[in-house]
Amino acid sequence: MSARHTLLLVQPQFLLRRTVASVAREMQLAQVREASSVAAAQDMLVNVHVDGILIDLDDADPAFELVQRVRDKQLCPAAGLPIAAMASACDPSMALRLRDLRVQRLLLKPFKVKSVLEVVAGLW
Amino acid sequence: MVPAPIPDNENDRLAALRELLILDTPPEERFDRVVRFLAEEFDIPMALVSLVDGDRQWFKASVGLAVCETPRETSFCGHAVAQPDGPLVVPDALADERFFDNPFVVEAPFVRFYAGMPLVLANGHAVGTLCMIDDRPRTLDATDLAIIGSLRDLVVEELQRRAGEADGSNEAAAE
Repeated sequence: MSARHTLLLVQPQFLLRRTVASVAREMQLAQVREASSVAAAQDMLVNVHVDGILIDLDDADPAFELVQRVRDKQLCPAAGLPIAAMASACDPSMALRLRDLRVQRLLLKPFKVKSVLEVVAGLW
Repeated sequence: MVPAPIPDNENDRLAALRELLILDTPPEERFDRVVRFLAEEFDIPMALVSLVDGDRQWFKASVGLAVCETPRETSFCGHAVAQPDGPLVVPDALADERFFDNPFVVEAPFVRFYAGMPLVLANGHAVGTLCMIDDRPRTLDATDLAIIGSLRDLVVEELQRRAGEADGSNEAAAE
């Protein structure tokens, strides 16, 4: 783990987003750029270099589209950057979709901030 | 029992608290959500935003506690604001000479664990704590402390933002 890596955290829930970002920075797990929506995340990816993404999938269609666009190099040059996700549920079709998009970790809600931080620490 | 000490800057500290215009006000979601989040994160029965007044501690937000204030002398938070540079963590109140015979330890709610982060304003005064309480001994690691610290920072931001909103309302009314 290293504060040299920049994580894009896409999470609409303010308290969760803010707490994960703050603690990740303090513990030097990563530099964190916060996006409260997929739209904000897309804008950020075009303009900011990131080394990994942690994205909430509850707004499923836009979130999956963003991940697909990353893999297709439409948003940033690093198509292979590590991506982890958070979701309320995961059925077999979603699991396949996540595998095809090379999402390496999925956190199912409810989860603790500590679990999210462990995922962040293990991204690189 | 060691009574909660009175800091040397108590008069200034109380003035800073009173300037917030927050004591005895109704609950507010911006504070309620923090204590709910804290309680859920740590699976802990009690979490509070406590403001330490002259002879009482008053709870702006609480989970798991039916009362809205308790005496300052017997409060754990009173000890926390007297050492505002860091958290007060009591892993087992029964093993702590300051608290082992405290009425809130030997009687309901039978406090065993306490962790309180002082709410320190920009002016340097500790007006209360964000704290969590359990009826069984616990320990915290560095990540746990960082999580509570982050939530504490949010509470301080909201206290100061709220005070600014109140100032704006007063100025508008005066005009």
